[in-house]
Amino acid sequence: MTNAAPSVLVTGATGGIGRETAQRFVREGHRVAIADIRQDAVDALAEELRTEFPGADVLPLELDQSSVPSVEAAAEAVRGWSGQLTTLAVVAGVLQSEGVPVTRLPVEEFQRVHAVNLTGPFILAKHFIPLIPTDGTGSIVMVASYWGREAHPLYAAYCTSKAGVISLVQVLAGELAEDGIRVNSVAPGNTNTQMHQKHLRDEAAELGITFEEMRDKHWSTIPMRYAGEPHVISDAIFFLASDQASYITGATLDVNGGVVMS
Amino acid sequence: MAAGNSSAEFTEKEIMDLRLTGKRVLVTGGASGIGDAIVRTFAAEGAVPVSVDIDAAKLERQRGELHAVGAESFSIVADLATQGGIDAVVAEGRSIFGSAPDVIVNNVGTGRLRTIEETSDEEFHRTLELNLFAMVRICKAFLPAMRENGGGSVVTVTSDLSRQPEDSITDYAASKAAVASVAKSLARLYAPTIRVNCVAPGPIYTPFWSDENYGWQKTVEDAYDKQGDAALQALIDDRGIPMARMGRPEEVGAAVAFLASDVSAFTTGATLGVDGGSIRALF
Repeated sequence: MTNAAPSVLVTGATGGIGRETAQRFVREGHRVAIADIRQDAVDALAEELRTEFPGADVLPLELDQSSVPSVEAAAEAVRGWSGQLTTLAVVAGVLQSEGVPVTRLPVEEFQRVHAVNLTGPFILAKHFIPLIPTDGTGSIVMVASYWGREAHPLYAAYCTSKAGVISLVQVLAGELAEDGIRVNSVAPGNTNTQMHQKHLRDEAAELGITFEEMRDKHWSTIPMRYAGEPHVISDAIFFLASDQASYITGATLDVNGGVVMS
Repeated sequence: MAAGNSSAEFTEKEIMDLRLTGKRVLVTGGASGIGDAIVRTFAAEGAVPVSVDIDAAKLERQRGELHAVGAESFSIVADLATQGGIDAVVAEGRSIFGSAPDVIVNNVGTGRLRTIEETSDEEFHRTLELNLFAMVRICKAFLPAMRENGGGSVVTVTSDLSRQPEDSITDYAASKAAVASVAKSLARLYAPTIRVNCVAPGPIYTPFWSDENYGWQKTVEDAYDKQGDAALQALIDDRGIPMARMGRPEEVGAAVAFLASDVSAFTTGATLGVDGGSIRALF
């Protein structure tokens, strides 16, 4: 590992997709700043990564991407650590706590979801763009959702926040193209994370069926007949961040097993 | 950013280890331009390209160059605008990959810079024969067998014009929109066994532009009253491409190889733009 190695910040790094993304970049020889809401969780992940990849340059950061002071502090920390940031990977996001019609969806819940899922990427872009190199190697990749591609009644907060990410990526792509910075997103479908499995367990309990029955019932609605493992998302993030995608900007790549064909 | 559009230096991209080693990859329109870059990308990834084209001389040269660097490849001469040409691909393909290849890249296409007023019905039909029906016939010829064989991947090269038409080259844009629709239908029909995706390039510097007999560059030069790179840059500026340059064929090749490979195993029915940011619509 040299100081010339590319650097990446992964937000939501201790979640299913974030962890896989951090690992992927470390494996490819990048210096990786791993950020998430809990310091003890990022510290534990940093230890794991250093054990699995001896010599890896990992910077654990406590970060609430919806908070300007928190993002400012993270940007300062990254500036001191690597001086620049090759790739900003925005993975962190929250789900809407329950599915309810707009008339019963509390404004506070709508704002909470938007603060993390849409205002967060905006604040991150605002504060990290000055650290991204303008020599054509820099890029931003955000995680959207197939729920940002199609409407799901009862989930106004979540759907609009993720549709907003797809739009933000296009706006940023237009703004940053002349600096040689590419901006793209990945829109996952059902991804086999702990979050997804908990959702299946809850639904199964509600319907009085087994986890396996619920899983088969749900997965049968996906054209590929399964929920993707987290690495399918990190593989797409890594591809879009790499030189392989040098003429790709403003794009949202669907990785959803065919549930939405946009 | 400087034009540099027509320099078209072939900079090989780093290989990404897409685990494509030994895969038999049928590439239509494989002898020149984007098709040629796709063939070379797969060869660099260790796959075995089967390049199909009407231009026997260019196929021969390509195969010679690939073999000289130790890459295994095959070529089939066929007029893909006819059912007879597709039949020839099926017949000759049998000895190369059996009943179906592992990967199909529908790349062949033609287009002229002309408005709908300047396009006869016959010319429109000819565009559809090559750009739409070659893809339809190739898929009908191979996908049932590919499913029997346990799976595979299809990548079709469309265009940003399929999503965002300009005021000319209308038949081309319409054919690409049709192809994109067929691809999604096939993605549904053949899931979960076969994945079907599209790559939608923006303006890419190829013989479509540079050929002195039919290339678009001459038309663009006349339209903007400028020569060479300056004319192309005027067009790129006019179209408002954020990255302010044309794309290179190998940049399309990299996206095609990614979608063809198991690295994108959970992506089907998707379109990936390789367009320098030209798409302004949200979806």
